[in-house]
This record gives sequence, C-alpha cells and structure tokens, in this order.
Amino acid sequence: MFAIAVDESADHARPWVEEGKCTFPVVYDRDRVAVEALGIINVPTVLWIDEHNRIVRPQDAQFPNDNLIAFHGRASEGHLDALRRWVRDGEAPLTIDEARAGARLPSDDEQLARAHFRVGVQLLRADKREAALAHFETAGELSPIDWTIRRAAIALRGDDPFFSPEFIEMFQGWQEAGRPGYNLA
Amino acid sequence: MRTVVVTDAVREVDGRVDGDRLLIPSDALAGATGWELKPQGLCRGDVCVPVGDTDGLLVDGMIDLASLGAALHWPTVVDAPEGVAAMTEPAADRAAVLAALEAPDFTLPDLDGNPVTFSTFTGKKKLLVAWASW
Repeated sequence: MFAIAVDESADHARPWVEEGKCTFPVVYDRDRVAVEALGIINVPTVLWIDEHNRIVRPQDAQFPNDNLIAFHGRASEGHLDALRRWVRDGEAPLTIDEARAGARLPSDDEQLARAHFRVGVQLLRADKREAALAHFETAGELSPIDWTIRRAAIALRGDDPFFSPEFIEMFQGWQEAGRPGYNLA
Repeated sequence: MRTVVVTDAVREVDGRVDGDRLLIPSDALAGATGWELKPQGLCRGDVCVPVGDTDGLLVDGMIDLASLGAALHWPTVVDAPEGVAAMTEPAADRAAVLAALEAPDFTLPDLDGNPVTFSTFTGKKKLLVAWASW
C-alpha cells in the first residue's frame, strides 16, 4: 500500500492515519502534483503498479468495504479478491490492451482547471480568499466532474463537502456524465 | 514583487507586474519554472521545445509567463495582480504517458514532512490509493 492524501495539510489527514494505524507510507499532495501525474479525478482512486512501475490496473474508484455502498454503488469484494490473486499468484487483473483502454486520459480544459486550482490554493494560503475563490470557480467550470478540484474547493472555502448546494449539483452532474472516474467494471 | 510560480513544484522568484502581464527575470527562468532557454529552444531535462521567436517571450528583457506558456503549449494561468502563476503539462503529453501504462515518479512529504519518493518502492507490487479527508 502507498497512500496519497489529497489534502491541504498533514493535519487534515492525520486523524484517519492514526485511527487506521497505517503501517504503509502515507504522503499528502496539497498542490495535486501526483494527482495530476497519475490522472486522478476522484477519491478513493486506486492504481495497481507492478514491480517494474508498470500500471497493470489504471485509475479507478474502489473502496475498502461496503459501508458507503448506498452512495457509490460499488461492492468491494470483487476488487479485493482480484487484488489478493495478483499479490499471491501474480494473476494480472487485465490484459495490457484492457489496461490501456481503461486508462482515463485528461483534456486540456482539465489541465487548465488544475492550473487555476493551484493558483487558487496559493492565494488561499496567502489569505487572499476572494481572489482564490474566483480561481476555484473557474477551475470548477472547466472541469466540473473533478472531485479533487471541485469538491476539495468546497471544503477549502469552508462549506460542507456533503450537503452544500454546490456539491449536490456537482454530484448530479457527475452522475449524468456517467460517473467519470469509475472507469473499470 | 514576490512571485509564486507553480509547475511540478512551487517556486518563488522576484518578478514584476506589467499591466496584466507577470514578468520574471530571464536569469531566474530555470529557478522559477524548471525550463531553460537554450539555442535549441526551451529545455527541461532531456526535453526541448523549439521556439521560433525567443524575443517574443521577452518584455523589457524579462520573461512574460503567459508567452512562455503559449510557446510551450502548456496550459497556463497568470494572476498578475496577485503575483501568482501556474502551468500544467499539455493533456496530450500526460495522456501519452498514462496510455503507455508507465507509472510516473513523484516525491511528496509524509505527515512528518519527510520527502518520500515513489520509485523507492521499485521491485514491489504497489496498491496506490488516493484518498482525502473531505
């Protein structure tokens, strides 16, 4: 396991890491450096990466248990079973062609949205809230289905990432768009 | 003024605002962006992007960050009044790496602030999990 907290500070991530008694590396990515490099637009997203740093299962939303299944609709069991077979028996989850076809690729608008988000977080850190929120809004318009930008910005500006009107609207738009980020079966 | 430039890292440099343009000293280009102006174009590591008119990047001898982004074809956001700019890789370049199924390397801080480099774990199978508190 290698965990990346898509969070603004170590203190945001720490309570979960301590409660989970994590024995694996946990880093945090406040400027979305690895998130961008890996093409991640949602959490929780997993990638399987082999000994030679080849991606054998591309970005996909998967869950450790079924606690929130009513919300996301993805059962954990099939993924976890396949993961055990890969680790124990070396059974590849996908052919190379399937993995390639399953990789989610970004658009230029999504990349530009990440640039706006990065300007926004810099401004927020400098207590320039109004200017920051303008960049978050533009980022959300350019990449409305990217949770690492849009839902994160809802939390960063101090609104409720579960029940704020913007999140409810975002969630509906994301469902209508075919739930991007939920890439593989 | 204090100018923050974000690419694959956050870097600070003394820049200047000129209307809606944000300018950085040409000798600070590499330090601020990771890109260097060479005879063959703009270079970063092994990659060089040819630039037809390098004078087009310059205003009063300083590099205009928006023109730099345009020359590189990198999506670029410049907030000149606030002295902040960010540039991201073109989608086609990022897509090529992802479609080739190559895991990118990166270095990020752990919760104690110590840098951790992903490729340290070469030779092991990794389940990489991106998650968040929000």
